[in-house]
Amino acid sequence: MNALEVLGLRKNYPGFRLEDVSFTLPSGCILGLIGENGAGKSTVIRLILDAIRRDGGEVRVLGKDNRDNFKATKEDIGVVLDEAYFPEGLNVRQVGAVLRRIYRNWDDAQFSSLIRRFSLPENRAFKDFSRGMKMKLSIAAALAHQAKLLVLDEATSGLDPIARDEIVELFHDFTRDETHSILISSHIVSDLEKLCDYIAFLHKGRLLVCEEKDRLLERYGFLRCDRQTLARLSPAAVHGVRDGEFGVEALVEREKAPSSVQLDPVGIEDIIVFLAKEAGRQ
Amino acid sequence: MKGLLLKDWFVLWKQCKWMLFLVILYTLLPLVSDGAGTFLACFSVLFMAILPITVLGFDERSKWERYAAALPVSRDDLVLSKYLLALLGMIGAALLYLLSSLVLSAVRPGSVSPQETVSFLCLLFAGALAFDAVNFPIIFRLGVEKGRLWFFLIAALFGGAIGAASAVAGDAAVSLGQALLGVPVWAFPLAALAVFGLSAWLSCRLYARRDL
Repeated sequence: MNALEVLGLRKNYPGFRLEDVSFTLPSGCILGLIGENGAGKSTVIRLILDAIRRDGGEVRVLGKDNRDNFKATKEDIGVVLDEAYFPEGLNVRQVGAVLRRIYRNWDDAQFSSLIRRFSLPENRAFKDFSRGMKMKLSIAAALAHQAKLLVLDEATSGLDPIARDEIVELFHDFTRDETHSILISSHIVSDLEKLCDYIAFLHKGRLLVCEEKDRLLERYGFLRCDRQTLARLSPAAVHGVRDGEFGVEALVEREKAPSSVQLDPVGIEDIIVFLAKEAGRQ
Repeated sequence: MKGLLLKDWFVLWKQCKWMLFLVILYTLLPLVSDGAGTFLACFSVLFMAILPITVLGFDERSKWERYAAALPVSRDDLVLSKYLLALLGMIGAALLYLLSSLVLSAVRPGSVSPQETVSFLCLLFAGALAFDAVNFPIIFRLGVEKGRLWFFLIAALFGGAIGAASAVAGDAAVSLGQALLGVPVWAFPLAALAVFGLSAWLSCRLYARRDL
């Protein structure tokens, strides 16, 4: 059973359209949903959670349609949104008390342990928390009810590098259990590159790529050359060009480039930047 | 549902505890104050009818519904918890007022008629239920901010009607009901409960279609 299956997902807003987004998150894996601000990442997540109505497509979460008794399925989903939306007057104890009565599998000991680990004050009102503290509370709540799937929308944004590293480690620990999976959206590519097995790149409402991270990194290479050299390559091999310091820089598909062309390794960030440029040209 | 009600209680206690104290005070004031009892009872019961709308306002400000959409609670749970909060609050305020009236009639015989008090509370309870029955679907459809204009309009209409009725307490309350409709006064809260239930059904349908 896949943790998440999204097929042909569509949503229309005035001025924005999410078009035929399809991807699968296998059980036990981590899928990173990357995209620029306004690409539609949060929209995809809200559609998966059935918080907004879709205009087309299907969503299956933990093997079940998200319109079919989704309340029961949500017991197994831990969610961290782009901001923590707890009532501002509540404190950590009260948040725990509320969630204990909402989740069947709520684990008080786990919640308390995470609160201590994150050094969150138990009696301070939520409105007095910093952004980082709010996100940590949200993460603690998501991890404290034996979830099988974590859905994280910009969960590491607003955290300092030390906290981000700690959180990424927590997410790694979460997926040591083969039945646990994570969908994480972010525009901080470095976090996703460390964490993810799969990368899905969303650009202006369209999914440009969805592939295993390692295969993506093997599939493309980075070419620095002059324009004459680039012109000799098949257009099908070149995915995005920009002017470089001594010529041009291009993202090239290794399989379609001649073996004589020397390609450098390329990171995920460069891949998505070039793919976005190519998409903008088309 | 228990978790949602507990969340509402925490919000109310944090944001409105002085108002809750006022409600209790106003329902107990008839013990020491002649004449002002019915008006204060109106305030208490109506205020408890308004409190869930206040909580919805706080929820909207903190965008709680975005997080609630991810929790294992249905949209119906989110709606019905507010109806339940209103009902419990109104019943609590009404019972407290009834209790204080019974104590007063025991301590000062003849100062107040328990039957008149019950009749008055039946009408008041029915009015408060009707107030929420009309307001809640608007708020669940439009949100508190956008529904605010409609809320004040309806609040003004109901406030005026209840204020006028509260000036005619006692036997007149019983007579008014019987004279106007020929229906026993206890039928009013039952009818209002039916309308309240219908309103809950409508609110659930409207809220199911909202993007959170």
